[in-house]
Amino acid sequence: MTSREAIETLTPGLRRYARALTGLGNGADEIVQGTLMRTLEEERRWRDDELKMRVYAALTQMNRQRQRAQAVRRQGEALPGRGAAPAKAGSRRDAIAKALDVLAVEEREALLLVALEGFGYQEAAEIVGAPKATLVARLMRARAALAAAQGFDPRSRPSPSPARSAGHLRVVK
Amino acid sequence: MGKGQDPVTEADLHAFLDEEIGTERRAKVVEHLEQKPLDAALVDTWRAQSEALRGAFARIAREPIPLALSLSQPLTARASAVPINTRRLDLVRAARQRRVAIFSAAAFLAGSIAAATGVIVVQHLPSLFRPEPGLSSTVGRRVATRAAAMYRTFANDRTRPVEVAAAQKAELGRWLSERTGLSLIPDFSSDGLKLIGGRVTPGEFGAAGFLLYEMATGERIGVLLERAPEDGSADPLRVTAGDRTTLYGRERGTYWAIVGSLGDERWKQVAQHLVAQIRAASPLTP
Repeated sequence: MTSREAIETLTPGLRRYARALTGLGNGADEIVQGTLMRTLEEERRWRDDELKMRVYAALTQMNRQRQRAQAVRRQGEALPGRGAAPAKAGSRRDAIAKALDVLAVEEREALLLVALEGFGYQEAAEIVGAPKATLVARLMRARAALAAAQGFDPRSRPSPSPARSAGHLRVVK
Repeated sequence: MGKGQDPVTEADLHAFLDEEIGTERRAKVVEHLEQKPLDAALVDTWRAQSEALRGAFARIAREPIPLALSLSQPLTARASAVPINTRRLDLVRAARQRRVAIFSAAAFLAGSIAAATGVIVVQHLPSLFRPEPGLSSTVGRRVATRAAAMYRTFANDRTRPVEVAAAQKAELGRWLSERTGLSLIPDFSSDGLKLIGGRVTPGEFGAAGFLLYEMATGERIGVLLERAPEDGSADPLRVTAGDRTTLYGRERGTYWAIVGSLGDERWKQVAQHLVAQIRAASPLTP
C-alpha cells in the first residue's frame, strides 16, 4: 500500500472527526482537504505506523487555526451567528452536534478522539500535543459539560464534595 | 492497600469506561460501581454519550468520498503534483466569507478562463469556492441513479439510442432548451468523444436532457443534464457499479452526471470539460 492509499483509507474517519469537530457541516471537508494536502507534501517523512496519528494531529491543528481565525473575524466584524446555515441533519445528530457546541475546542478534541475515533489516552494526548493527564482532564470536563448540556447534571447528584474544580481530578465517593 | 488510601477517582471511572485501566484497578472500580449506583449511572451516561456520538456521525464515514478528497484518483493530474497551499486556502476562505462578490467574480473568472482557453480547471477551485456543503445531496444521488438507468436503457439500443441524432444538432439544442431550460450540448471532441444525439427524459424537477457520445472504440458515454430550481454547486462524486462508473455533481444550479466506462484519466478530462462548459453556459447572475 502506498502512502497515498494509506492516507486515503483514513479519509472516511478523518471526515467524521472533522465534521464532529467543526460543528454542523461548516467547512469540515476543507479542513480534511488541507490536512491531506499537508500530509502528502510531507509524505516521505511519515512512517506507516505514525501516519494515522499524524493526519489526525494535522487536522486537529488545522481546526484550531481555523477556529482562531473565525474568532478574530467575529470580533472584528460582528458577523451574525456562525456563518453558514447548519447542514440539514437528523434530530439526533442535531442534538448531539449542538451539545458539542458547548464544549471548548480542546475538550471537543479530547472527547471525539477517544469516544468517536477510538484512540487510547496516550495516542489522543500525542495527537493534541498535550500530556496524558491534561488530555484526561479535558475528556472529563467534556463529558461533564455534555451531560449537563443534555440535562444530566452531574452536580445535581448527592456528593459530599460538590465543588468541581476544572482540570483537577476529583475523588468520587 | 486500604480503601481509604487508594480511593476510586473520577479519572478511574473514565479509564474504566475507555478501557484504559489495569486489571487490578478495574476490579476495584467494578466493586465501587456496585456499591455506588449514582456513579454507575454517571458511567452509563458517559457511555450513552459515546454511543450517541458514534451513531450520529457514523453516516459521514460511510458517505462516498468527495472526489476533491480522493487522492489516488484526483480529478486532475495537477491536483497531486501541485498540492494546495493551505495559506492560500485560508485566504480564499476569508475572502469568500467577507465578500460574496469576490467569490462570484473569481469563480466566474476561473470558469471563463477555463472555457475560453480550454485549460483544465484545477479541481480544487470548485471546492474552495463552494458556497454550500452539498456533499451528500440526495437529489444528486437520484440524478446519478437515473442517469445510470438511462444509460442501461438507451446506450446499447440498436434501433434508436437517441431521439434526435447529432446530424440535427441545432434542432436537438432547441428542443432541449425549450424543455429543460438548458441549451448546452457539451462538446467532448477534444476528448475523442463524438456526439451521437440526445433526448428529453423525465427529471427530478422537470424535464432533463440525456446525451450519448461515442468513442472511436465504440464505447458509449451518457451525459445527463438537469436544471435545478436554485443555483448552487457541489463537488463531483463517483459511484462505481461493475465496470460502469457514474460521476455526478452540481454546477451553477445544473445537475450533471456522466455514465459509462472510461479510464481514470479520461474521466478527469471529460468531467473537467463538462464542468467548464456548464459554467461558460450559465454565467453567474449578479
